[in-house]
Amino acid sequence: MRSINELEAIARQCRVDALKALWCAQSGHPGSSLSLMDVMVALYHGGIAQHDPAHPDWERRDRVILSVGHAVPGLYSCLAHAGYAPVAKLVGLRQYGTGLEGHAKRGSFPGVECSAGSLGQGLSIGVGLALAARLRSDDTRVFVLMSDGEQEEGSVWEAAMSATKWDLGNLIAVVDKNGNQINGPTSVVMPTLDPIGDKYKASHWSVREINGNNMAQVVAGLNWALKAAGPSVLISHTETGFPISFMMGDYHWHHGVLTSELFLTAMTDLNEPVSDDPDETWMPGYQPVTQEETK
Amino acid sequence: MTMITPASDVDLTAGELVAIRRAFGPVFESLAETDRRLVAVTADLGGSVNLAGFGERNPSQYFNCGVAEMNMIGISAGLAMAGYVPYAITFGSFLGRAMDHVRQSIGHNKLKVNIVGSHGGISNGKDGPSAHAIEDVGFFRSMPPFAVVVVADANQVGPAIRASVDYPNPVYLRLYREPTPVFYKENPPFGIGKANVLRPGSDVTLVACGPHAGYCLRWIDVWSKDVSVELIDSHTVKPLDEEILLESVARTGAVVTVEDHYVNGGLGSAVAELLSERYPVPMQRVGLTSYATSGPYYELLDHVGIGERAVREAIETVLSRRHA
Repeated sequence: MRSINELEAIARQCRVDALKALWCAQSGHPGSSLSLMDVMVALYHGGIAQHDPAHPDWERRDRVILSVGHAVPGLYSCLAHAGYAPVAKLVGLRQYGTGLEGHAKRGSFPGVECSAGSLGQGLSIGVGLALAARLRSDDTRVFVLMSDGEQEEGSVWEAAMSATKWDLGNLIAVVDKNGNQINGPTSVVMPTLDPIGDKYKASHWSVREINGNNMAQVVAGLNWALKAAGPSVLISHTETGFPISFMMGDYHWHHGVLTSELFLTAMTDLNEPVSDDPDETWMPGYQPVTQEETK
Repeated sequence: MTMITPASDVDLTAGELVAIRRAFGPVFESLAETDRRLVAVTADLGGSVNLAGFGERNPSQYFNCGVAEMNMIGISAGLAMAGYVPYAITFGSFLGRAMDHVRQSIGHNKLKVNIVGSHGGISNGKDGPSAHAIEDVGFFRSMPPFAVVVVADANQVGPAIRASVDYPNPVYLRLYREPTPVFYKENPPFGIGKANVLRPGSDVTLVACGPHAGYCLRWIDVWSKDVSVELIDSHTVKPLDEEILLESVARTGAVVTVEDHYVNGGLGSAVAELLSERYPVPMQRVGLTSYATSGPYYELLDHVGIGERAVREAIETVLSRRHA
């Protein structure tokens, strides 16, 4: 079992490499890739989820459904560091033929369980997977990772009701509550989105609020959820783009382009030494595009 | 090798009327008893396809998601991910709201979920347009992995379900509400993508799907002294039986399609796509041109332009165009 300090170090490295991939791609979604990272690291590196990187299709693995599909750069980095793929593969984010799709796509990258991107669909799939585990009488659990803006999708609440109808104690949801969505703060876009936790309580879920960018709280929260009665949800309070200085709390970083200057600032924020100009320290496998190629 | 149903396999003499949707439940139950992969997932309309008793007897294979079609599709996708073969069941009219979940949760995930849309077309006549499904075939035709099967009579239900279980792609099965003529003998030959020639003819190819195949059988017998119609039950709208359609049209040189569906996006569009690329001939499509209203099903057929008169007029039109 890794210590909290060790998990924090892994989360830092996963953030560094997610940002390197996002810089290479010159597009993508850093905000939630970073805000959700501690939860993903706790699941895959902290002994919470039962899984085997050498056998991504192991039948008895826990299923982790990234319903907030645009946070997938963070997941790729987390999975790569868990041993699902070489970290050097991250250089191919959003490039044709690499499998590192812009949104989560089942089967395109080892460990990615489910296609997502159109929001609000993962929780229903999680209910189906949790029912299937019960039908098979096995002990696998299902983790569904959602965003807070995603809670505006009505289908989430269809799924939430049915999870308690079938008393799915093997279903654990996490709402990455970074407070932002693509066109603004969630409190502005949908003022009555909050209190999210009370909405789940009204559907008879077990609910706990955590600081989702505090590894100790994340691990404790997930361990609580594994034992909670019925379906459980962690309302995981996070910061968009955590802990990058110019991203924190800014909805514009839901999606964004990292210039080289901003990339260097981000690496400084993460205490990651890189060269002054793009080279292999910016991304293993990176090759500068020549003028000839851009013609 | 195309499968041709000789006329002897068709029997209209009984004149029996049976609701296609009611035939679903018993067949599904008999299959699900031995194949435990099969599960029914409904948006509170399992009773409409005769599955209520199955649900009580087999609670581990029957999941009522409530009036929540998106959730029904998502839960089905989750079950399919885990190796089950779900049938997601509701009225065809209520599937539209769930199509994004069909696209991503089933389609992008490459899952095998069969979807059953009961009350196809205007067969739920009196409930009115909110309960009419006139776009569903178009929805599923436009979803890359899906096959689309429109069941023609109660005796075709069993073979269609059995064929759908292990068909490599997800299948949309369209059923009908009101009792309609049973014209196939029990357990007729059936293959997804294999159309049945119900009557050979030489003047015009008439392509139908659903109960219209049965109605047309009656109508063309009445018209037989005036016009020789080759009638094809194209129960699979996707993938079309290209071989049988092209062979027929090459002989007749004219084609009419008829379906209980919006005239765009369904069987007529599928046949037009095929023929325009492979063998263009004069063609007329019979289908709804707008939303219907409430009314008794068999009266509505004429009102919305998919009854006997509309088909006969389309045949006259296409023959005059061919001779022009």
